[in-house]
Amino acid sequence: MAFQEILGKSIGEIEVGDKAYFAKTISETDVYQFAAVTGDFNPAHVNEAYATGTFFKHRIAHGQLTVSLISNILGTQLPGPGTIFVSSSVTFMAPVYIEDTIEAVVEVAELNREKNRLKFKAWCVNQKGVKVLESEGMVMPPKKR
Amino acid sequence: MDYSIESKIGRTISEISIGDTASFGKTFTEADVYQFTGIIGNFNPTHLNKEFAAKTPYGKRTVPQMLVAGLVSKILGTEYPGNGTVHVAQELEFLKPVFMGDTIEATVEVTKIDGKLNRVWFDFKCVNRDGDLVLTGETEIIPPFIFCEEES
Amino acid sequence: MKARIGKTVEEIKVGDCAYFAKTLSNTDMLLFAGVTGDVNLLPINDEFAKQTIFKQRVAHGMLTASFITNIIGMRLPGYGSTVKSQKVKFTLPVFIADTIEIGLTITAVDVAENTVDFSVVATNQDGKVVMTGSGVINPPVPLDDSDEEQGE
Repeated sequence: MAFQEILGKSIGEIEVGDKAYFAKTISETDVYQFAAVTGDFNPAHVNEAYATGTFFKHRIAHGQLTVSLISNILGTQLPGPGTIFVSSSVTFMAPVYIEDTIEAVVEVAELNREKNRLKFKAWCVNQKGVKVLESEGMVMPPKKR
Repeated sequence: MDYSIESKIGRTISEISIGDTASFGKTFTEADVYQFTGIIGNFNPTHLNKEFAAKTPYGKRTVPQMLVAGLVSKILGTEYPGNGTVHVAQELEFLKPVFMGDTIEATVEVTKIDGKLNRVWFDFKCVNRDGDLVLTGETEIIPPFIFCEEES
Repeated sequence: MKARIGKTVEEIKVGDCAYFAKTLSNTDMLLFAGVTGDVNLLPINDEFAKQTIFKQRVAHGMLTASFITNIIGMRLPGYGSTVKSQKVKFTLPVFIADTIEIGLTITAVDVAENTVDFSVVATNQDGKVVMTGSGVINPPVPLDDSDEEQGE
């Protein structure tokens, strides 16, 4: 098994402006499993009685859970399997509630083919079209033999 | 705790008869669907995206077909024949969608036994609360047996 | 939000193939046992499994079979696909920490019926075939996104 066939796009197969998408309805299970995996049991995420008294009124998903949808795209679609994440920054713009459907978009912003570096812009919108976060960052696409 | 194979093993081939049946029913929840798709890595929006699903002919998210099919594994592995059962082959025909909240009753029935090969065949069917057949299939297994070192 | 779908039947050709590979973890096996309810001791109990011919825990066949839907739901045809029927044969046992690669190949395309046939082979890290199979998929059909066109 050389796994060449499961690798994503190498930098030569990518153009500036290429986009990829991933959308999912964020379930209570997602939020609770994320809390369990990371240990982030902030009551804003796992305590509805507490959350009703907050500005947001209901439990909200972990910000990093939504960010992870971007990582999903980078790791499975654009560039895809074999990608190495280098850096990113994120701005959260609106809360994500349990049962919201979130679409993440990754767009290729800049390519340095010599150094095998790809700068991306990314954002997430909810089912109402409200942008909930923006991000930018850098990855190394997989190299193929 | 006693985990000797003699005390825990399911039915061996001599305890299985043609026509025997076993059943198990389960309500599929959103948590089941999200957990299952997470293990398999199948994030098909038909299972996980309400907005997408609303535009499909079904109108809502469906339970992954292989999660429903997992009921056969549950029955064979834990009820009949039980511990030690090995799955050899599985045919599946998906007839209707299953939705979150649906309760599905799965039944297996012994159709063929081969004592020489130590193989048993089952018919498998899943029915929803409206009585609709949602899934049918055929299964081939090796029923549990006590393994003796000398035989190897 | 647009309903983004995978490849339609017109976009699929005989010979198209896609792959998925995963190292099977203990977690995968325990979560699969939990979500399906198949707590057969052979996949989940070392003490029991040691006494069987396999000498160690064997993964649920339906877990390996479910990985086929990863390819179908995510890659080929992709989002919006459903499986019509499928048959698999488990040819060798799969153990914890085995790396299983699934390869799916399109063997027939029927545009009029909106179906594609596939064959599937799963191999382990030694290149041994652990599962073979075939089936029929309904690829996704374009969904009504007219509301979105106005919005965007």
